[in-house]
Amino acid sequence: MSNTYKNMRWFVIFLSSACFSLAAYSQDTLSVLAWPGYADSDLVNIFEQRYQVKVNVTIVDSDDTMWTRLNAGKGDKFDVFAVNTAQLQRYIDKGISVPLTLSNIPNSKKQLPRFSDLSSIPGLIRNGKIYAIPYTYSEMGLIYDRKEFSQPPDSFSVMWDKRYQGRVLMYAGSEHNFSFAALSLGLKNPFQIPNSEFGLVTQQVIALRRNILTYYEKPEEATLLFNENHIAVMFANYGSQQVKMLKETQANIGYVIPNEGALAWLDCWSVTRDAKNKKLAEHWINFLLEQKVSHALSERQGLANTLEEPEGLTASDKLIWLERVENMDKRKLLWDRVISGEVPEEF
Amino acid sequence: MAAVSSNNNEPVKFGIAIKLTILLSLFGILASASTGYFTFNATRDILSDKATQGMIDATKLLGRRFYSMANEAANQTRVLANTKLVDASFGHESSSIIARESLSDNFKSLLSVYPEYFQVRLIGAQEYGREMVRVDRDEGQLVVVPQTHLQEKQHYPYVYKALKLNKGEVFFSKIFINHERGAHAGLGQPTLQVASPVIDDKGKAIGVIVINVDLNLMFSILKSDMSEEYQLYLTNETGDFLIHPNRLETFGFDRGRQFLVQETFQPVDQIINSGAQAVSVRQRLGVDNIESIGGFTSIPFSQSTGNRFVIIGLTVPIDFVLSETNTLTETGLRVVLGLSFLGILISLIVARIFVRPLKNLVAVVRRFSETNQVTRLTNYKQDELGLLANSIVSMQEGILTHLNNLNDQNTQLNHEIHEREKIEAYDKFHTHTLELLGQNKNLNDILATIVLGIEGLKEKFICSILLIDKSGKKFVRVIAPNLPDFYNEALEGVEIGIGVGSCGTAAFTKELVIVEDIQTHPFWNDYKVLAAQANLASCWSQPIISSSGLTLGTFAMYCREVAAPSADDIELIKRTARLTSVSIERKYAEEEVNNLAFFDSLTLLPNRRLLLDRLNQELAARAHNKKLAALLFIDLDKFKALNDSLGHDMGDLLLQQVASRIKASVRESDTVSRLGGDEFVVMLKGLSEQVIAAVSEADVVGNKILHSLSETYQLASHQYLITPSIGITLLSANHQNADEVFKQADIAMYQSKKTGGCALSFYDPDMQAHLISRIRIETELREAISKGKQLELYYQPQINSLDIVTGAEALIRWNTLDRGIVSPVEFIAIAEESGLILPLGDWVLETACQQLASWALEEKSAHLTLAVNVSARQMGVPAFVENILSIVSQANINPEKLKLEITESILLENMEDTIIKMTALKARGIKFSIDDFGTGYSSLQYLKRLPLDQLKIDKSFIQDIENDPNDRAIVRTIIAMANSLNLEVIAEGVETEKQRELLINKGCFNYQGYLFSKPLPVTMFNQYLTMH
Repeated sequence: MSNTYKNMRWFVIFLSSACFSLAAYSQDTLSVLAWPGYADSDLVNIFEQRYQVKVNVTIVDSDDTMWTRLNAGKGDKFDVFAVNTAQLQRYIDKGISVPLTLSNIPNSKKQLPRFSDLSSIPGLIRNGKIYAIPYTYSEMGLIYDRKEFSQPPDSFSVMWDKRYQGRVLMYAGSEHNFSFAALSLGLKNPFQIPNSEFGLVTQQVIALRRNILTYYEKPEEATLLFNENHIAVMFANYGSQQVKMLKETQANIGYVIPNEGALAWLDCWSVTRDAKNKKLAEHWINFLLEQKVSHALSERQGLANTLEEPEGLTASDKLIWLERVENMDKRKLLWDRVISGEVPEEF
Repeated sequence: MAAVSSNNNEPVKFGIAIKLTILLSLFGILASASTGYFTFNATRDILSDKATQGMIDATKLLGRRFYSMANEAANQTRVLANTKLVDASFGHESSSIIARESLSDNFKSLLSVYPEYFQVRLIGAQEYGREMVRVDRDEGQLVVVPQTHLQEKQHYPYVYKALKLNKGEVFFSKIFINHERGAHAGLGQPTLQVASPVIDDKGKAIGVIVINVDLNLMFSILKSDMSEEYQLYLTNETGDFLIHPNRLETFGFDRGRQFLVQETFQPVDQIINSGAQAVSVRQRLGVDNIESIGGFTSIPFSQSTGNRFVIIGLTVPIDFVLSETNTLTETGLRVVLGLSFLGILISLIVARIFVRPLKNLVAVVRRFSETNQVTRLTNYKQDELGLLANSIVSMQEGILTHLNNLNDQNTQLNHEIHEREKIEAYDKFHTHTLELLGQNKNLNDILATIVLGIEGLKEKFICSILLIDKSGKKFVRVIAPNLPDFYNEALEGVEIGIGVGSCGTAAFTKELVIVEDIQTHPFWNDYKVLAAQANLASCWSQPIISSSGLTLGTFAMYCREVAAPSADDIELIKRTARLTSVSIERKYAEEEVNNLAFFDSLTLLPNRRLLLDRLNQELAARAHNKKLAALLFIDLDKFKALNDSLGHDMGDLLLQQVASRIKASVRESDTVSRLGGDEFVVMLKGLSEQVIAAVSEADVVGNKILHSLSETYQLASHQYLITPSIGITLLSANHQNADEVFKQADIAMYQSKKTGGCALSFYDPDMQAHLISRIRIETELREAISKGKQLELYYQPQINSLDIVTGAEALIRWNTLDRGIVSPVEFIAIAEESGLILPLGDWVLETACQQLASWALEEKSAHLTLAVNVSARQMGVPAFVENILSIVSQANINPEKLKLEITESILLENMEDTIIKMTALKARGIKFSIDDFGTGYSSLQYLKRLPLDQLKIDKSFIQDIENDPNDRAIVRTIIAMANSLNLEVIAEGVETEKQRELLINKGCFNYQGYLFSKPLPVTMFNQYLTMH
């Protein structure tokens, strides 16, 4: 046995030293810029085999980093990247994102109607050209305590209900808490709040502040707060991920997309102007839209894919894709005042 | 004495005085330097240890100060919350307004006492936690915030959590960066909030007192008594930096990033994850990479909010702490230098005093050895040196007397030694010759040894031995390595007689013949010219006489000068002749015995004894010789009848013919022997290593013998036929001895006899069954291939990590009519040996390509690749490339879908040829995979050179991957290597979900094995495809 072990060990040492001394020979390369979990190595491996290419994946964890990397003049160039619809606009503005040839992405035909109808998603098409293909999304529905509600609440207005004062949880988000308030007020476009309506919307944001226990930032934090404080309703900024987390703590909760519809972010794949082989980049997008590959995303990451309706969501549920807002800085300034506790009279 | 006198004229170059000085100085320097070094190091270590401990103590102290400052804040909130003034501040009456004003004064005085507080507030439970009284520190001023700017704070933990506390309890917030607008001096600072509830007389929480502490300020106060060199760190319980010399590394979580203390200072992990109280650190820090030491301590605080703690750390550059040792270094160096100098000085003086009288003595001794004159020294004291001087004088006198005696004795001794050496040398030579006899050396070698041995003893002489033929008349052999060839050749065949040189005369007269001068001696008249040509001047020759009195030859000694032998020489010649006689007689006897003992006199074949000897040798070699051997027993059935009817002469004639026929049927290296009567035995050596192949080879030879022996014999005028029977057994390592082998071959032979003769049987029935089965399989396989009906390809799916079927491996199945499905294990080896592998391989490739063509027609299967195994023999065919390409083009398939699997052994056999062929096929799109990868110990250099696409990890590694860490390591390494070579990896023999999981974790994403499916017939494979 010990002898075998020795042999094996030498074999291993031999192999390891050999493998570091051997260099890979060059072939076509695809450089991908993506979010964690969007390009697992086995999926990359399958793509590499199928197209006989090498894929380099770079992972980013914030919008800012992505913007910096795609704007870097020299050094790493990327062929294809994943970006949400709101962020996409500035990439199109700057010419970083380039139009796609849909015929090279035949799998887009298999996407659910709400995704395959690209014109229904604001920001994907500009001047008649398609700039990105939806890949994954997360809607921000309403989590409620089943013991408190015999019927699922049909409106987000329940969060403003005085009966639940101190038992409501809200996410601490500067930009879209205004969108959310605008949505609850029935404004036509929650992402473009006219100046005339800002006062009203701000009052609505303050009214919500007065009705909540507190704001949360992370899903783990929300789960803890929900369980410790007998929370009745909660705005689920992280959607199904939060539902899953709560259910794991045995919380008796329900999840619903109220009639107003739910805000949702939508991540898409887009090709950059640096793509050496644009068709290969499109093959990549097409590959990710294969049933099994998309399914793997949902199974492994708990993120919804664009081919299958996730549990708890139906085709009739209204999703409102996040868009660029009329003035980010203005909302941020207002938000800082709101969260600091300024009274309505000060605005 | 001789050795001394050769040197004593030279002056003393490197005298004791210098040596002594150097040694003493060195000792002095080393002693003081090492003492200095040791002291310095020990002190430095002690100081460094002390400093490290000091750092921990300092952090603990800092922690205690922090703890008490936090407690102080807690006490302040507690006390404030219980004051009547706070109670009175609630309400809308004017008294309440006055109370609130007074409270704000209280808050102000608190803020002026504690510079680290930047905000003190009373917050009401009503009106969404609206602030009631609030005093802020703002640009050095204390500001009472006006009513209209008071904010609603109930959604902050310091309000909604503190309101739930009991009277006297205190809430500590997490340490965070303050973003609350209107926080003034505290905005953007690391902040700790301390809050305590205000409870009314009904026990209801009606408000909270909150103090905000600026931690930066707090710590700058805490460490105000420390040097600037000390760096402070504060982290929360998960290790996020809250205070750090580089501000950019603090509060990472506030910006979605993470800067953890345990990543910078690894020992701190013990505090965070193992509950350690304090740790020390020592490492290089900062951009300047300064070696620093430090301590980290965990400080628990706020028991009411669970086991929360913070970690406080301090670091300081080690040089700063050890600056004391630097002074020490300088002082130490000075002391060492001083001591060393002193050492050198003392050494010089000591050496001079000590050496002067010694120098005088040296001069005296030197004079004595040069001239043998004794000098008396007078001015020596009665110390050791005086004694030495006297002793030297008397010693010199004694030496002179002894020297003369010694010279005489020496001459005598030398003579004796020379004689003794001569005797010993002869004895040695004699013994050596006898040893050679014992070692079975041939006669010529032994005689040459004798000749050379005597030449070695008698330097000026050249010796020869001449042997006489059996008739006793002629010289037949000359053994004289140092005589010229022409001389030796001239003597060969010469008839002995008087006047035929010294040797001819000696052999004839059987007497010693001494010829002192060849040129003048009558015995040499006919040969003196020859001798002159060989430059020989004298020759003494002694006949070699056997024990029975026969003359065997002569021993002669030649000299290049005219010479007469001494008595010793004559003794030596005679003794040598006797030794030669013994050697020759012994060798002649041996040769005679040999012939009788080992060969059959009738057929001249080896007899039983020799056969046994060789058989035993062969059996002994079994253990390390891989080539197999076999024993054949041959019996002539009708021999006895022949002997009876035609007589023994005819019988003998037949046996001789049988012997020569058998010999003609086997190789030179095989042994044919006659045991006696009509029994012959053949031993075949060097058969194949595989049993089946060896059996088959033995079978071929056996049949050849059988046929040859069955043909008509012409015995004088008679024609005769006999019936041979042959029994064969293979020699194996299991055989205990030759008898066992004989017995088995004998049994097999009787089996042949039983069948009526003219037959051949193997001892092992299994072996025979194997042979029959093999022949049958070969025949049937040949038919199956030509008809193609019984053969079928099965397909084992190859799956990727998404459970997508990416392809299959084609595996052959042979469905026989009578024996069902025959395993490829059984027939592939036979196909390889018989060459059937070539048509079989073609059939497999053609069928596989047709299958690929039919898969290409359907969408669900169009992407599939098909792996086909290719053997070394197939690859070795010169037209291999053309053959494959023609099959591919006939099937009209995409060559990229065809994957040829080769084994590592193919590469070992003919690497260059293989590379050329693979490259040619690769250029046409065909893919290559290495099968059973990892089992061969072959060079990895080839991997780089081969146009490969895939490595297939052998199933033996997968089998135990769950339990055997070695297998896991191998698999991991294979995968890493494949990645760096850009090769795909597939694991075969995947049987459990756990194996698949391990493989996926290691980066292998392609699998084949029973976990997914066994090999399937094509229809079932297509069904499988539909289902997956």
